[in-house]
Amino acid sequence: MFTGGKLGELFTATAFAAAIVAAIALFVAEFSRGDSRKSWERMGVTAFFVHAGSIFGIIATLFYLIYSHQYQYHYVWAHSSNELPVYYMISCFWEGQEGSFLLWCFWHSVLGIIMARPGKWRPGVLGTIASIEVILSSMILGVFIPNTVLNVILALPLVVIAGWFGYRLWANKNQVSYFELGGLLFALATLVLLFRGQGGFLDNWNFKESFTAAGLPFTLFLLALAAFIVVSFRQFSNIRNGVGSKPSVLAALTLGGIAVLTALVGSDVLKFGSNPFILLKAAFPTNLAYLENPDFVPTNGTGLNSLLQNYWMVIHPPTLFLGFAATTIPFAYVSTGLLRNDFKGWIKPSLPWMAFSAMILGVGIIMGGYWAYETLNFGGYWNWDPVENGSLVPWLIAVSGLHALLIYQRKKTHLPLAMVLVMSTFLLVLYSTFLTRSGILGETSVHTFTDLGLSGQLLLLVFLYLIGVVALLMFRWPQLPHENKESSFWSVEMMLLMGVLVLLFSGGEILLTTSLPVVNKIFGTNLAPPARIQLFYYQWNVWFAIGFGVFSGVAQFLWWKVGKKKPLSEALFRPFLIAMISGTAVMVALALNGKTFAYDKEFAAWNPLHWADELMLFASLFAFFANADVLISLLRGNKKGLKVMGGTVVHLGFSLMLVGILFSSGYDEVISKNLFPSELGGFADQDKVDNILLPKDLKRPIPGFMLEYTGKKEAKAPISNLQLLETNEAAFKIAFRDSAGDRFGMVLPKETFQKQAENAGEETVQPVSDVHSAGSGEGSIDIKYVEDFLNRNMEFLKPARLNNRILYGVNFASLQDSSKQFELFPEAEINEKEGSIIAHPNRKVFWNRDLYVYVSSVPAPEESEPKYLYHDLALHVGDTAHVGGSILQLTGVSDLSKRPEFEGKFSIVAAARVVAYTETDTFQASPVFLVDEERKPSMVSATIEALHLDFAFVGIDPESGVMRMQVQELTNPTSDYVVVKAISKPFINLLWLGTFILIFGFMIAIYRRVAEARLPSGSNPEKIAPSLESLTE
Amino acid sequence: MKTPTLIILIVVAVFGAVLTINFGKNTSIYSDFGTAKKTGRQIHVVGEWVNRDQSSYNPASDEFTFFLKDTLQQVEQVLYHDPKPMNFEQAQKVVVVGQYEGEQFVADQIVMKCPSKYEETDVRAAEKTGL
Repeated sequence: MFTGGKLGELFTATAFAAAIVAAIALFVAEFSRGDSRKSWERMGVTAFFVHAGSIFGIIATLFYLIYSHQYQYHYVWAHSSNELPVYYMISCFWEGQEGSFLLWCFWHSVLGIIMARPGKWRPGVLGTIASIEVILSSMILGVFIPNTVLNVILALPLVVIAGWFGYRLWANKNQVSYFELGGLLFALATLVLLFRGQGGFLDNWNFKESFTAAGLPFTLFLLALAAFIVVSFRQFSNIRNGVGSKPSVLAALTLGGIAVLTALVGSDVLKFGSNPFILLKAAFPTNLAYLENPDFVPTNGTGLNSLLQNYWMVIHPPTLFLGFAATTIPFAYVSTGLLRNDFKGWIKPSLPWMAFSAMILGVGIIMGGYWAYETLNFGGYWNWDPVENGSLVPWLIAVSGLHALLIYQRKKTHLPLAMVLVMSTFLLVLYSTFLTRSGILGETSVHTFTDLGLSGQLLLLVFLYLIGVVALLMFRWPQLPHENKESSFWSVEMMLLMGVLVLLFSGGEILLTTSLPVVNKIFGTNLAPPARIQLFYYQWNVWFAIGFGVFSGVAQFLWWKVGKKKPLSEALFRPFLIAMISGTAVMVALALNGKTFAYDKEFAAWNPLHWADELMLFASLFAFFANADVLISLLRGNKKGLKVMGGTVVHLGFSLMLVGILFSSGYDEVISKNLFPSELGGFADQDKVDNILLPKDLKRPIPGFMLEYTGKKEAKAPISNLQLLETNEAAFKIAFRDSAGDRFGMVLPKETFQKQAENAGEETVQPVSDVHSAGSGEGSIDIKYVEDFLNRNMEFLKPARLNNRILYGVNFASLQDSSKQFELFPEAEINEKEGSIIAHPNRKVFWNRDLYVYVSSVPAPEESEPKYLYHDLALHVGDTAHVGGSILQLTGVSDLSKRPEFEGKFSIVAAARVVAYTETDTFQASPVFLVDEERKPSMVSATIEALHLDFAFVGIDPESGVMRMQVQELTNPTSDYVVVKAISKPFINLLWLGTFILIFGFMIAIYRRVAEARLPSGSNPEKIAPSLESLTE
Repeated sequence: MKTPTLIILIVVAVFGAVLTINFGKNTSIYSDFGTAKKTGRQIHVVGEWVNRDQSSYNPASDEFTFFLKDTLQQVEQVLYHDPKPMNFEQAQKVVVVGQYEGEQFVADQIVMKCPSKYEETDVRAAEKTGL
């Protein structure tokens, strides 16, 4: 039968093959002229469209399989479930590696279609995209070839090739050809690789061991790969110059193909990618379920990680991947330019793309941060996790590349720098993909993917392009224009250059720290990241932020030529002065509020550089006011100012973001600290108690607020959208939404359904199996009836939130004015089996700060069962006893049997008066002992709620006059409690506001640069970007 | 050499030097309890959570204690001034970052290495756990 999975696999194979054809045809076109170029190009573009169509087909197929719950497929089973709402099904694509590669392929396809418009850059640019697509789509192939068969197949031609190259070398020994030398080296290396025995491609190699038996194959492979790429480029340029031979290019290509194949040889099998359409049975063939029943299909999947069930997680990964994919376009332009010896033409069309990728990548990163802020409980939007750094570093380098392009646009200098940076951006995207997906980060990051056996393939991707870039630059370097005009330090290009350096340093420092596991792997070391990692990153990056503030402020003035009319120092004086005044005001305000002006107090105590904080504040404010100054001048000058203000607006936004980051991260404050921690008994280190225990209904004071845990938020009637998820012999599984729209689910056992209804005091419900229903046969259920039942019994039934998400109500009342209060509902997902929780924060947004709260601990399920201790007391009137933390005294017993309501019915009615003393309070209780006319005893117990004591008067010993009392003590009275952490984050809104301004500025800049790129070549783009002087005059 | 180029070269050189020194000073090592005790340094101890039923969190004092067996099979009690981290039960390996304070190993940070969903091999797991 032709199933969805087979269709998907067909699409996958087509996508891979079409990408190969497209890449080869487009590169051949790139190096051909005339009709031949046209026909090759037509073929390549068509193939690319086939590839793009197939990628869309794969995605549609996979989505259909998830949508129709076809759990016989591993991907569907592992990443979705029956309960998953449709709008989160799209997130299934990025929970698994295969899906996220698909996402990347998707954006490359979309961007490729945009780049497929006819034009002189098309063959090279589209060809480069196609070449990346070859490797990316190979990641989802999932092809296995046993090593032994492969060895034989590959070894034979390799021996022949090696022999041929050896012969050629020997025959032409007067004129040694690098091509033949490389070829020989390569063939030999791949031969070694074929028979190198056990061990993964990456696992056996590190720098120290590069020439031992284990490491040698990999070393040789790397050398050979380098030789191959260098040789290929040489051959390409020879053809261009009309001296190369086509067969030698083909031979080089063949070798490259073999290199790719051999590099992937694992210990036993060659594995190409991981197939998203693999059947569950094929993934776990030996599972017991299949031994019992070969046709077993699970009725439900294991579900999507609840952290991904968030709307930010629906849009954040696609945005980030669009940013990643967009860096390919400038890379494709610059490589094509280098290949064709056109060193300048690529800049104009690249500029808008570079700005676009910087914007989208930046937005993607911030979205990820916002998601983390909203759903994770590490207490912030940025954790310096390797995965986060993996997207931040390419962004920093992309921005530096963008500035290098602008330097060239303006001054026609530093072209090689621009090329290197644009190419590095792309390489870093590949590298960070390798970091996060190869499993190498294992111990330093919590949320990377584990290795799917793709690490070799990923490593190949990185090395292929790294060596390619190095080779290409190496060949063209002597021909590149290296103008290095004399310029003063306070010139626009120097300021931009300093900005580029700041970004590079920041990127370099983060990259190095994040790459420690790779360093360990290569050099065989055992280094761990700095223990106080956040502080370490802060110490470094605070200086880069200062650098940004200074250089961006000054550069904007120079860019718009303000300094020409009057001395630069004079022009900069105004923003400098305003920054100093406002910065000092902020510091004074902080000091008046008793805040230490330092990111980390411990750090500040010993490090003389703690004033970096103050500097960063001043520098960010300076950047803000300088950019604002320039912006005002631009807008005041001329209508054209609107068109060209993009860059200024971006810097304005970024400086606001920096102020927001400085305050929200540097001056955040844990406020969940008990102001009167007497109940701790002095045994805890007060400073370290950052989480506050909130027993139900007891108030606790913290700085600024009185906290009270008001209880779990339960489902509210009336319900809607009742769904019958599943029926078995004993129970129904149902899901519904409550009146607030939250989704709940529960298992209704057929038996207890009836019993619970009785217990609830409702009219007796018939057993469900007897209920007349719309369906037929056993296990049918009358939906309308159940809905009615649930609505009436909601309070009693306490259905579970789906995924066991529970909202805990925490009331915040202002300490100054208790009428000012609000309630927050931090959420915790309870894993009942493990007793562990996944917390999701909740926050209150004030204009000047966020109050951020999350649940850090709740009682374990068994703890929430009440536990009692029973005390049997025999007391005379006046006797005392110790129970729990209080002293009890029986102060008297009164005889109530003569009262009219008891008269004639009871022979004994004795009411005891018990007084309970604690250190501060006195409580009373009156349990009653009764004996009726038929000598049957009974009792009415009495409770002192505050002490969790329940008194039963169980008897009187007539001879001794001893009263027998049973006291039930609740020993875990705090069984319903919640432990929360609350953090105040000042001025975090500036970060979000700055982000919006930044995006807005980028859009204006992109609009302008697109318009410029469309201008006929030769026109001067600076004409539509007049200087401030011409604007103001 | 032109002045601006010189400035850039100096800046780059200073950055490189400071980075190298600072990096060398700050990087920690993956090690064991014995080394932590000997050196008194803040280090990363990789281990396995053992004697699970003897671990506990005291909500009043905000202290979580548990036992960790390091790579040299030494078992030590670890004190952590925060509640039990998320996914602690699922972790195959636990990395604690901290140091000895007297005889007590105090963790400042706990990193869990959790199995991926890909290693989930019980295809009927979803059936058993119900909703």
